[in-house]
Amino acid sequence: MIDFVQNTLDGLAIGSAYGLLALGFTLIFGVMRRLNMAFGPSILVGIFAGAWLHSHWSAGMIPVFLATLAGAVIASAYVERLSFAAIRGDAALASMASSFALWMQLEEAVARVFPQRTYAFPTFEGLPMLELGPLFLRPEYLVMFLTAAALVAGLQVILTRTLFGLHLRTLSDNREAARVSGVNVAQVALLTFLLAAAIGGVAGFLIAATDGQISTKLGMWATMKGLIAMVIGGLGSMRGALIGGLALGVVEAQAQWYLGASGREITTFALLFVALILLPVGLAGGAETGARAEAGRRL
Amino acid sequence: MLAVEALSIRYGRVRALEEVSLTLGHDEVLAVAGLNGAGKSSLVRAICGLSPVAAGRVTFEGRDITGHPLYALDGVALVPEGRVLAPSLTVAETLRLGAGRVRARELDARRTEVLDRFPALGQRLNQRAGTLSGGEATMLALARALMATPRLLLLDEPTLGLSPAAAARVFEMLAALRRDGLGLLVVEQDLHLSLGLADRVLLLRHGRAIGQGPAASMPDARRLEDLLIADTEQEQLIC
Ligand SMILES: Nc1ncnc2c1ncn2[C@@H]1O[C@H](COP(=O)(O)OP(=O)(O)O)[C@@H](O)[C@H]1O
Ligand SMILES: [Mg+2]
Repeated sequence: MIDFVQNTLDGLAIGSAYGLLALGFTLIFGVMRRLNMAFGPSILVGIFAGAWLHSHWSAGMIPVFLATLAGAVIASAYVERLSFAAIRGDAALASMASSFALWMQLEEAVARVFPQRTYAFPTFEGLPMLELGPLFLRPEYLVMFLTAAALVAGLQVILTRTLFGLHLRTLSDNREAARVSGVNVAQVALLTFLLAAAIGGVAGFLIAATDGQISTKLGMWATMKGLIAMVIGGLGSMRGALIGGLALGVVEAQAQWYLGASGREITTFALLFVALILLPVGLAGGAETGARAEAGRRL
Repeated sequence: MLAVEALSIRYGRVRALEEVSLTLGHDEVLAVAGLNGAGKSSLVRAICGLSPVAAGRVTFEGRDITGHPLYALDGVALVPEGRVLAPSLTVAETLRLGAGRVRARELDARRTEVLDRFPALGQRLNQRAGTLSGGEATMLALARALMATPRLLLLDEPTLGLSPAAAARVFEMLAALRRDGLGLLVVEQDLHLSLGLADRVLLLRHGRAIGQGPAASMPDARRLEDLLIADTEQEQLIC
């Protein structure tokens, strides 16, 4: 029982990072109506920018964090210009395919510049392990969970209290309504893309700082985790993205403990299939958003 | 205030509008009439940069605004065909959306003024736009446009799908707006309604202007309808 609770606690921490990745996907999907397959690789660029700063200048946590964020945002801006802004209208498949090509391109570029298999990333060392009765909480996990919570709260404020947030929600709900109301749709879409990249950059930083080492596999890993969490939660719903991320984290942690590493992968995909087949609207269910209705028609 | 000169619109090989010209002054109402597919929506949308212009010129208050997107136009607002609301936004959020980038105090002033015109919306501020009735949704689309404090208001079939009573209320509202100094360009299928309000009328058929002139000198609504349907060009109206 203690094991189960301990796994749940660890799973919620990792799951909060998955939730951030899924949130990034969802924001982009909302305004663009298409998946950005190069989302993870954009984050990869950021993480390696941070690692570079760390190894060449022995930079501390804060500069590395800022470099990670900047790298992810710049790489995403590149992806948006090339594969989303340039391909307009109903060509969703073309956009997705070209974002897939950019995935390969970004990953290859990073692998050329950083030929070793793994690189060191700074960690939150020196923070004490927290004891909650019989349970332990790794300090990185606490940082991860609290940062994710703060980010979600901040995003909520942006979405509900600012004009940009209102524009973003209008665009996600009904693109034409945004246009006829005098919203600069292209600009809002770009800003949303960059906001998603920043959120993904934070998630990537937290994950890298928890592991202490990074490889170029992290790009694909981030895309997969984010996509799976997003689909589990229900395509197009922000609350669903968070719930999906947390659920994925907990299920993975339990499976890892009871079934081992290969059991974890099998369980993850089983969860994905269950979500797709039994819960076509995802765990968050219910409330139909414009983005989700659209997703239903597209997929 | 508004001048459209020889405006042509194409969608690929479809010629939606052919060299249509019109002018509209302050506190004037121009009604646009024509059958489905005559090019009315294309005209309205091209004026505010939502449809591509193949040839011709649009000037507003002396400035060339041809092809300028709606978000960059100061003083022009649109009530689009079918209302086009974002269903998940509340009434209050939809009004906020219409105002664009303004200060809090200015926003409050505009909201008060608009809600004075539409008291029914004031009681539904937290209701989602997708749950409004047809008449309420039309009022919200109109209110959203007014939040931008336009001097020129473009309306594309604002009475579509409304009961005759609700349609008459919309036109009462438009009459009040004209009294307050707005220029109105209104696309309307119901000729009885539009002839009752408009100063001038523009008749479109197959993308061409087949007549334009003062509403008072137009034939009655019945005969106008016949003209719009007629396939012969000899019935050109020069008023
Ligand atoms: N986006 C579009 N793409 C292609 N053809 C269009 C488009 N919008 C309108 N059309 C065509 O242009 C013509 C005029 O349409 P429209 O302006 O909507 O007329 P109305 O509003 O008078 O019914 C029609 O033949 C219509 O099929
Ligand atoms: Mg029309």
